[in-house]
Amino acid sequence: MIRQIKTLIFLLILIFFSLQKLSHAAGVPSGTVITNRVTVTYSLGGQVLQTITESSFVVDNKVIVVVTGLGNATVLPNDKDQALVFSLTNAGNTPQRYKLEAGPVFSPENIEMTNIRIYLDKDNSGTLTAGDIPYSDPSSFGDIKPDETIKLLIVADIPQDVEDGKTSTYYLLATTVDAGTTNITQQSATNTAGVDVVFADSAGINDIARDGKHSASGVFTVGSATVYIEKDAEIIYDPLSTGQIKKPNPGAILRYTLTVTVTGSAVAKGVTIKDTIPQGSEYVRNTLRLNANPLTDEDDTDSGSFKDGAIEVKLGDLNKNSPRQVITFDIKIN
Amino acid sequence: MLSKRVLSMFLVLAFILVGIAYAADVEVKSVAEVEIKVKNEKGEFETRRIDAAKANVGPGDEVIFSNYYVNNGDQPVTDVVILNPVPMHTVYVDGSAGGEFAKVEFSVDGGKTFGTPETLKVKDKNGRERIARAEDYTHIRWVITKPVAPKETGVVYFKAKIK
Repeated sequence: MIRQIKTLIFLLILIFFSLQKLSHAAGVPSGTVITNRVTVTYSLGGQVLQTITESSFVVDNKVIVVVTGLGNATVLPNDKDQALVFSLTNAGNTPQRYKLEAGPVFSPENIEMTNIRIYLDKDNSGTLTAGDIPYSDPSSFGDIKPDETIKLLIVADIPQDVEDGKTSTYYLLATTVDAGTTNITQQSATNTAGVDVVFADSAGINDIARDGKHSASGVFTVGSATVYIEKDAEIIYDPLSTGQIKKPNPGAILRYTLTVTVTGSAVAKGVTIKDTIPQGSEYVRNTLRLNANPLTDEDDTDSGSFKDGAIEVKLGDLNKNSPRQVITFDIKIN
Repeated sequence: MLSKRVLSMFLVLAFILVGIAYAADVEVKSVAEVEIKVKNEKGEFETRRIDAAKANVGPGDEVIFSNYYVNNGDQPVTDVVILNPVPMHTVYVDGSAGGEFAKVEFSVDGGKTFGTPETLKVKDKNGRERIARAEDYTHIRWVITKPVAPKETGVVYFKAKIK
């Protein structure tokens, strides 16, 4: 019992100290006065004497902002509200706000998306959801405290005519703004005894070091998949035929073969093939097969069934590397 | 009752007066500076020191603290000890303390006891003892190992990093 309590206390202290460490990572807040106090003791004429002095200086505003790309997006033609995910951290020692801009990273291959918007990903879902807050100006998301990180989304609509595999790279640029205002933060021209502003940020994808800005990029990739079905028919029995030549006479049995393949860079999810039995014929029971394996006609645990005048086979998720799926079934001509 | 109070007030006053008469002998001045790299006339980079109050000082920056002392009296003074708590919001930079004719010692217990680095021990979060590190030091002191003659000056120094 005592041991368990000791372990619990140890763990709590450990958590407390690691949290403490996190909260001080951005450093001493700007405006803090650092005072040095020096005491000199000495002996003179048999007496012990003392003299004391103090000197102070003020900690400046060290501006550091970090924008990081957190996730790309695979999109389909005509999709709406597709999101690229970013984080923004105030790694400086003073509360700040940020002006945000999103734009395409130019290259001849880049396809342009439409209706570009920036949102605060309030529920941290990585997608545009009802509670997310749109950006209109630096005051939209309020002041960001030292060490605080917010999640942001670049949201876009995908045009209709875009090819599978094409990409579109977008950057998110954050420019430091004075807390409580919409004024871009300026680096102090001269050093004063008060709080001066120093830019200490790194270069991002679309900005330079020590400019009070940082940027990162994300990529939209058009990833579509197309399902191809090739259908062949073979007369396997003709009651009126005597030799090689078979014809689709009444009573003849036809075997249909459906070959299913997928092209494109995406996964075709939940591929289900349904084929209606043609009028003037009927399905020959228990002839449904997938890749030569028999499937029951009943709607049960296997992937095939015959109901409402159609065969249905569930093939699951397929992509371009999946083996060809071959479905066969027989019909009898009335 | 009244006369006792008057007597103690008189004694306090006498002590202050006596103190004033002697306190001006040793003076100390503390200077905080940062090193910056500037290009000289030849286009080469050289390091210069500027007052921390006039420089950009932020988290992670190193500040050089220099304590200049002088014996302004006409008698030599002995047993000179300069005590400097590591300033709040800073961490002592290992190995940076020094000064001529000075023996440097540190405290990890708020200034109660002092010793050289290898003798200082702290308890870690498991209760185990380990040798103290720079970030554990609470105070620095320089024991001046010889008397300071009239008009003689000296300097002791250390570096600390802003947290």
